[in-house]
Amino acid sequence: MSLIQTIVTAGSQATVSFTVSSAYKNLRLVWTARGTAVAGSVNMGVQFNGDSGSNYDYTIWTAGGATPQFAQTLGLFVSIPAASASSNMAAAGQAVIPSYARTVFQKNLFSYSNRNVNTLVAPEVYQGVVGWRSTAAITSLVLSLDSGNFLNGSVFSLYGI
Amino acid sequence: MTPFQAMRLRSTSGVSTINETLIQSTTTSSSATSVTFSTIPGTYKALRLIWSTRQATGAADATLRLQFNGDTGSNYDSNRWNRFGNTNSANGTSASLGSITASNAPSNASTGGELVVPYYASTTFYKAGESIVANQFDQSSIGVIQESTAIVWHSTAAITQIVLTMSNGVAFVDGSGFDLYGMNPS
Repeated sequence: MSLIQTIVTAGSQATVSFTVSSAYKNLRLVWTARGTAVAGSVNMGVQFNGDSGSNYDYTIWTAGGATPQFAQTLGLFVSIPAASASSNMAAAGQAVIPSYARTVFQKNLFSYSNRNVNTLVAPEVYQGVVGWRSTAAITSLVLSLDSGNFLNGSVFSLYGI
Repeated sequence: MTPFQAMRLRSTSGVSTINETLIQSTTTSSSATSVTFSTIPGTYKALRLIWSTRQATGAADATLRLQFNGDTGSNYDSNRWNRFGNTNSANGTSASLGSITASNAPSNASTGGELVVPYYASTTFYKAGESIVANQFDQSSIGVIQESTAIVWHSTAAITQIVLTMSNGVAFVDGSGFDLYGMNPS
């Protein structure tokens, strides 16, 4: 497993961007993050290769259930604490993108993470999956939120495996 | 969060570092109906298998199945769950690793997944593992299905071989990828 890049957010970043080569079999993304929006939590998603079209299907599954979404412009896969959450709480998790450089199939991402927004409530497990309607090899990932920016100091590491 | 998920998080969260070494990578061809990893060395603490595949001809909810060390006996337990519920299988002849996109799904849709088997070379306990998959079932109704599966093999033997098949016996779409890694703490 090789570290491709670690990004620590600064300057109220709205996005986190990675460029990847085809040198690996699979990708693993690891994060510890929190948002700035005035809300208890926000959702984080991904776009591949600069594709902002309606080409993303996703489902975020937690104890509260799951509602699949179709043909979205952002592939959401995890919920993270935001400005109204208890101080210093962040979500930690990781995602795998299998066969990101192979061009036979559309691409999948699956993730597992924890989220804790309130010191009086136990942490929750979040499992998210994204389908990207493209067989293209993935050469870039851009992470963003459905509201607000990343809190400075959020950390993202991308590995090639 | 299960112990396996915690292990996965620890592996890359900075608490400790895990080195992952590619043992073998297979890209299927000629309508293969099975994928075999043989002569797996016992030099790692854990195994991780990552796949991207689809049924070549099946139209039903088939699952990826696994057998260790050529054991075809009734020695496998599986518990697969997703947002629709869970499916238990005790004393089966193989273990389920989750559902696989059917041939009538949208073109090129697929399933990606991974399995982690801690201490696969230890001979103290029965072997246990956990898998997670993203199955592009369709793009209009069910959507992308997330599944987790816990498996147990009733054997204390060190794992030296893995054989993967589809539960309905159909072939993997040519170009399916299966990558086996060994993991050790650095």
